[in-house]
Amino acid sequence: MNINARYFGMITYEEEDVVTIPDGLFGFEHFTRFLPLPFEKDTDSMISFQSLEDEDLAFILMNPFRLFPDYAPALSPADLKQLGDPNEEDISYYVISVIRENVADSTLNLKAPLAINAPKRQGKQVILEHNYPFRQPLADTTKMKEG
Amino acid sequence: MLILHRKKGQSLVIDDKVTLTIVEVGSDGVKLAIDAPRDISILRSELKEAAVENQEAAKAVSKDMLDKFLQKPES
Repeated sequence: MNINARYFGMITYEEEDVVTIPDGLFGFEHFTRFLPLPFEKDTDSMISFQSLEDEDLAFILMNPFRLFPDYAPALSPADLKQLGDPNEEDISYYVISVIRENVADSTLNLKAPLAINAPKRQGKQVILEHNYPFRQPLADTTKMKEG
Repeated sequence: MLILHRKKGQSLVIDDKVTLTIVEVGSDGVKLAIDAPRDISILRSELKEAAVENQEAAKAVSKDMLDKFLQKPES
């Protein structure tokens, strides 16, 4: 199958590459099928989460653990159930980023990450109980890395 | 902003349309019952905020911005 991806142009994908988000993302409930496309080879540090229902819609996801080693998302029993009760090690977490002209002004949504049951390729955007910010400035992470 | 003190079982009425009742008070939160007409939207503020953030995140990013961004974490 082909799609004209927002950040990659025309590409071919297989059905097994698709990640489903049955409830959609908040405010985007009608979009349930996505194709994760890494921006760099062999790393999931930054991914385009391309909608298969709207070619112009693609979120930019980041692996939060590289940037915030202390990040410890914990899912509620209800969230876990919706994900199909996966083992903890089968859950991947990605945060949705807002990219700004000035890189340091870009933010990551640590409060509402995407939790993905990796073996099932099924995910859900959750809202964590923990008091993480919806807009964590990226500037703080670069500072953390340098220090 | 109006701040009111209410006890378990007590209510307040907004604009003659919405009735908010305190059902339960615990150390970790309160349980509310909301009686409102169907056309009134009620959302947990986190959901609203999450939706606003997603709207912002869905805006297309230019190639220039992406290139700058990709350089930064690797430097």
